Amino acid sequence: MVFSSLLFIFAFLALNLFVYARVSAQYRNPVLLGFSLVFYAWGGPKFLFLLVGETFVSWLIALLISRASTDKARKVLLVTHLVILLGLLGVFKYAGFLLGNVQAVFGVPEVIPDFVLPIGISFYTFQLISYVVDVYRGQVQPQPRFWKLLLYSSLFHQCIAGPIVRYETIADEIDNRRFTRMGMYVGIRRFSIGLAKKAILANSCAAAVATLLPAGVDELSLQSTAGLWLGMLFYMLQIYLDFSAYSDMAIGMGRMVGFHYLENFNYPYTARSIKDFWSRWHISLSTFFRDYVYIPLGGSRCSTPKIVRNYAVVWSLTGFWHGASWNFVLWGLYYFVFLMLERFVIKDRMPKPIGHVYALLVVFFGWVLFYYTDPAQLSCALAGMFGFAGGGLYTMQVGTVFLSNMFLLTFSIVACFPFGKWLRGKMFEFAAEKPAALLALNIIEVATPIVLLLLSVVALVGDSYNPFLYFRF
Amino acid sequence: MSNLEQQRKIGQDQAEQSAYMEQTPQVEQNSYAEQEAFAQREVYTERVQQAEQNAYVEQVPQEEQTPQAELVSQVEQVSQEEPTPQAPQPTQPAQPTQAQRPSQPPRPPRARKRRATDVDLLPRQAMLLSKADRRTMGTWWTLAIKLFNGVMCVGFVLGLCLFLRPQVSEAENRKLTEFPQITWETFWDGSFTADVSTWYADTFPFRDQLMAVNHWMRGFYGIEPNEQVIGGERQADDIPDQASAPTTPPPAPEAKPPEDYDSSELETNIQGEIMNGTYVKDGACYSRYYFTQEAANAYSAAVNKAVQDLGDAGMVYSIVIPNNSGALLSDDELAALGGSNQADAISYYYSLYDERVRTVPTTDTLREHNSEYLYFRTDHHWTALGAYYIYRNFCEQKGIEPHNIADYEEVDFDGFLGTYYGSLKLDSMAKNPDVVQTWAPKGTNDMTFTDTEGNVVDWNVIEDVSAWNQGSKYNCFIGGDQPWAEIHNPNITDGSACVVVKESYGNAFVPWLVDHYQHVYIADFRYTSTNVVDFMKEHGVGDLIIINNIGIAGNVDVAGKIASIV
Repeated sequence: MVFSSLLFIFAFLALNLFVYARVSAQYRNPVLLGFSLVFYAWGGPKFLFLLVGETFVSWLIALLISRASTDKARKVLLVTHLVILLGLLGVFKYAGFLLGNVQAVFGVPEVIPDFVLPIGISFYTFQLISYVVDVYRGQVQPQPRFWKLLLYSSLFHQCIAGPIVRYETIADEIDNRRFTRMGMYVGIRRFSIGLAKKAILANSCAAAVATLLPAGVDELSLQSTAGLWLGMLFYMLQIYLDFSAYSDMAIGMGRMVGFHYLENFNYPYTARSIKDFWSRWHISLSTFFRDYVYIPLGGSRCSTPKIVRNYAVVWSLTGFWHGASWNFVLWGLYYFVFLMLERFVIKDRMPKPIGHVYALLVVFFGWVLFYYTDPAQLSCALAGMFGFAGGGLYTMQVGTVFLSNMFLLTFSIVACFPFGKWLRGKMFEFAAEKPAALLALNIIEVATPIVLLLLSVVALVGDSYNPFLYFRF
Repeated sequence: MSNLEQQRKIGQDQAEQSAYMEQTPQVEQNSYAEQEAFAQREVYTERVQQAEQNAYVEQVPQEEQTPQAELVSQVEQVSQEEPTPQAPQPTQPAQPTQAQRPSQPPRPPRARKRRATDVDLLPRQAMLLSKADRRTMGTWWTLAIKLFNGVMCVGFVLGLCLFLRPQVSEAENRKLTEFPQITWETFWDGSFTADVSTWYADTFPFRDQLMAVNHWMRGFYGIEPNEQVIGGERQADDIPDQASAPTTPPPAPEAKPPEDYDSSELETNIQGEIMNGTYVKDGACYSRYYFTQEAANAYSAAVNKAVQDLGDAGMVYSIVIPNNSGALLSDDELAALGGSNQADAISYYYSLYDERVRTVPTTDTLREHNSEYLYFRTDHHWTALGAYYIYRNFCEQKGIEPHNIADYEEVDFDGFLGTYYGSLKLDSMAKNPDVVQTWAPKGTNDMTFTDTEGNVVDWNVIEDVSAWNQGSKYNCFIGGDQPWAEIHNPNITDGSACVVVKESYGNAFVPWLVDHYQHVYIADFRYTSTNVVDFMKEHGVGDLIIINNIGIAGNVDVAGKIASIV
């Protein structure tokens, strides 16, 4: 089930909130668990077994680790867990890719079986790994109840594509959270903002991308330079709005029931350097890799060649996590190069405005690498962007798409900046001085989530095709 | 302890804690023992336990007790008209033991770090509001929650009202998704549930009205330029030189039985041919045309097969009609639009035929008259007037005298917004709808057709569609697209008959034939499986007219289907 669909909003979420509000406190977690399992099974019941199985293994191993007497036993258990979980992730997600490469080099095997990717496997696998490693490190008490751990790993807010929530973030809130009006309002607001970002902005940007960046090398080679640049600009906006909207919705829904998830995005397109960008983009993923790969490897507390090695490992893995294709690894290493450049060469010498432009350009070309999984299309697109396009520099089609999406483009770009927050702050300022302004502010505070929700529903009625980009993860 | 004192003590403790936190280095690996040691501080534990029992203050971690968070708790406090249900009380002994964590232990800084971007914190300017104002805000927020619940309720109930769900969409002119069949396989791999999601959204009650609002909303995305190009370029083959055309006709495509062709797939392919690359100017839409050698070979092979199979039993006429861009646009505009030259393509198609095929010239005649209303602006079809000029050319080929259009009575149906409007929904088109001009045959206006279910229906050659849906008015001609139709003219008794193999372009053309033949049989190749040549031999039909639009004739599957029924 996709968050931005009428079935989810009006059938699933409505029912979930209704039931959650009505049952007594002790049944709230089971209600959430039940709904989460149904939500996950909606994408294919057979994959539910994998999720439940992996959670069971994690639960068992975490308990064994906490009760183990020797360090060696704990280590063995941890390694077993990592092997199982990463092995399963590897099989489902990367086996096809690996076999494809083996076939390209050696010619065998002849036929590569089709592996269907279970939904959200990248997310919940990492969540469970973080749980067990945290138990191993003594940072977190193992959850004695299996079903509560299953609640953590399958919670529909974040299981499929939400922030990679660490167990320690919500460990206490599983048992001690409050279902309050404040939380409800804040959650509704956040959820509506996310839904509007997705249903109105991101989906429309996606439509523009589909028009300007045709599939297939033949059609792509006929696109003009301006078309390629505009198309990639729309894609850059789409991927941010799409993904951050999903995180917004997850955080909002969590807040409605009392969970506080950590922020996953912090206006990444306002970054002044690539390092800054990565502290604002998909924060849960980069912190995961920092805490569970980079720091165990030595982090920054070792010799320079080792630091470079650590960065290289982390960034190729980050890229690889995004998809089983070489262009993703290339994308990760692309950022590795710029990060090393910033750390060792540029250091702090870049002035801020130039830094902002530089970061945006680097990120823009990063998305070109990210978008095209096929090397032929990638080279075609890059050649086209630098003037060697089959369609010339500009065609009327590009002008048409630009003019008919002009305000959408402007609004999407504004949505990448904390303009809304600033505006809200200003309104509070005025409201403190004048009662009329206070009244206006209150009306707007009430209207914002409701209007956004209604507009999103209207936008969703027309979209029977509603892709979520990170869904293949 | 009073609330105020308690809060003051919390504040003091927090200050202490902040100092502690600052001193503690941000080590990457906090050992659990360190945390436990901190948790042993009785004062804090006690405070935490008391706060836990107190219903007023929301439990927020250390860093969140910023002024904003205080504000948040106060607003929360006053917005609670009814006590909220208690969170389950942790069963804690008075003294936390080594193995048990207190209900609200201190977190390692990393785990509960709240970024300043948390939208749920009120902006810092909120501190400027007075307590009374914050109280008011709380009640407004409660209103917001109530409205949200209301919207959810309405949506939930509406979603369940199965009787309110539409079956067809008038605006989109299509049948909406049906509720999927459940089988074990579809359930197991998730396709059943995915189809349910699609069905739920596609047939939501009041869909057409919501779509209208959606369309209005999308009007704000940008401005609609007067001249626009929608759809990208495609690869096209070069049209070979006439002189180098092969003397032997190209081979016939692989013969599949007619039942093997999926009519909805054909429809989708045809839709693709029309909508793939359109140019809009002044509310009129024009399609691009792409020539492919493969399609040319396939189509001409199908026509040649008909000639070969028919032999001396009848005469085959081929009419290939250019689309609106080829007939209406100036040479400059055509060059700017791109695509292949339609006049050359049609000549090339004709050059590939067996010499027994009689070809009817089309492009030049239409271009001669292109200041007249030959094609619709909002629909990809031609008008009955355009068909009339080609009918005159056909008569010339056949060697009969065409009738004069002035002898017919004209009946108009206005407010027609056709296929281009259906896809593009442009306002410039909506403001300038088309008029369907019709001229009913003098001999008879009666016909029968056999529909896709096999029922034989009595109908009119020109049906009165004034009350019909704005998108369907082109269906006034011969009942639209039916697999098989027949028109018998009682005023002609010489036994002359023809079979017209057509798609929807043929609809506007057929009425002109009625006054020349005793029997006119119409086969829509997309839906029929009747072998036309066999039919002709059985019933002594003399003429086979294959009439297609050039874009549709440019599809290989279309050619294959035609070949299968001749």
